[in-house]
Amino acid sequence: MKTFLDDLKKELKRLNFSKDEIKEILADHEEMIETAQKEGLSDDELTTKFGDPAKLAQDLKDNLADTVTVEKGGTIVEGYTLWKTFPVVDKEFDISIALVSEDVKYVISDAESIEVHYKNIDDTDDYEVTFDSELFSLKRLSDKTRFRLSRDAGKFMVKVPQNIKSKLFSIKIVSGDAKLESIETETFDIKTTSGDVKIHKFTTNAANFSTVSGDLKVENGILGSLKMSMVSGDASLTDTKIDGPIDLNTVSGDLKVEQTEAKSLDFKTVSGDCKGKDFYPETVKLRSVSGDVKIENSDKSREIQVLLKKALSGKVKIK
Amino acid sequence: MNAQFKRGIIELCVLSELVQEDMYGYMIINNISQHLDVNENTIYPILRRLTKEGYFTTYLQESNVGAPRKYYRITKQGFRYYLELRDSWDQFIGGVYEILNKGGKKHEDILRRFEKRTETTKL
Repeated sequence: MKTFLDDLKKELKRLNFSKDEIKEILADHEEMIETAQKEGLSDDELTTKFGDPAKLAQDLKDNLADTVTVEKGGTIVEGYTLWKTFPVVDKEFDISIALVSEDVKYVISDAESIEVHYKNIDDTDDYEVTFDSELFSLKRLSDKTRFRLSRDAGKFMVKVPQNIKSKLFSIKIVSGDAKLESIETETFDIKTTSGDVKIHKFTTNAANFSTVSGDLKVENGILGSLKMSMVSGDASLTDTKIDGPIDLNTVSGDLKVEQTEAKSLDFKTVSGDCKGKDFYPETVKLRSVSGDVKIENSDKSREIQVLLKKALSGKVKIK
Repeated sequence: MNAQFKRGIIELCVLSELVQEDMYGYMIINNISQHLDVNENTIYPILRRLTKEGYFTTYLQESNVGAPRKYYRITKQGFRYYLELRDSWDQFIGGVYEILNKGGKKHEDILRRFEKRTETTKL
């Protein structure tokens, strides 16, 4: 078993374990092997019991992966562990986030680098995060759902420097929630199934938001145009300025709009309503089964023209 | 078996061993490998990680044979973690068995049902 210990030492060194750690791990194994021998195990039995030192070293490394990053100067923020850091030189790059059940927060920091933090993630090998100066990407690699022993949802936090500009900002999630802030992008794509998405402060030429049952909350946006599609999820727009049209499709989800301006509102709905307060689209089109459009504004001088109303029982009311 | 899945189960087993009493490394490995086909290189990394995470503390104790041994003792935090894992495991395995038992409990039953069903679909 002398070779086992020698091999283990070699493997641990190769994987950059610290001297102290190697010493401790070897001492533990010396003790365990000695005990096993005293209990009368033969060398062959010992080999099967202790297995391959290379695999052991790798397992130790994998098992410690989360704590190791912390020791290497990583910081823990609100229970998050720093996973990866990418220095940013040119602030123009695209952003793509594709996750399944994980929550994600996208926030601005004072640092000049991108930081990816995680929390309650079983195995970071299930994810891939890359940055190559043109694209930052965070994604889940496999769709395998695995038996989770801890019940808290996995979370990611992406911290980026100020004033990042992108051609495309795309986020796709299934059941996780997303919280995004301070985004400047030409095209802004959001796709969620049941996860809720909150966006605060953003500028974009074209926004395409889609949800099945998740809710969308949009605040402080300056948009060229907005295309939104919902099944049963609700959406809200607050303090938002849309230079072009709002094109909205919903089945039963409601739309709530406050302090918002737009060129036009094209609302297609089955039973979902649109409720506006200080909502100033220049024109409104409604195609509806039973869904209504109700707008109540304080500035009566601004006229809203109803261009089209095709509805079974749906109404347009503008006050 | 999926490595991550297995790791989670072994973790629960290690915790469960130490809930009973303080033990030295080889004893834990030996106890678990009597029931499950796992070896040292699966258990030791888990033992080490859970210690680092504060779920176990260690102390040295003389043994009547040879050098002193490193004993592992579960902490309060470790005990809470054990209860949490145990709960989700019970829930999970309970669910799995409910599904499996719908098909029958004994092999003969399952086979009989299967044969009966395939016979009628043949016709």
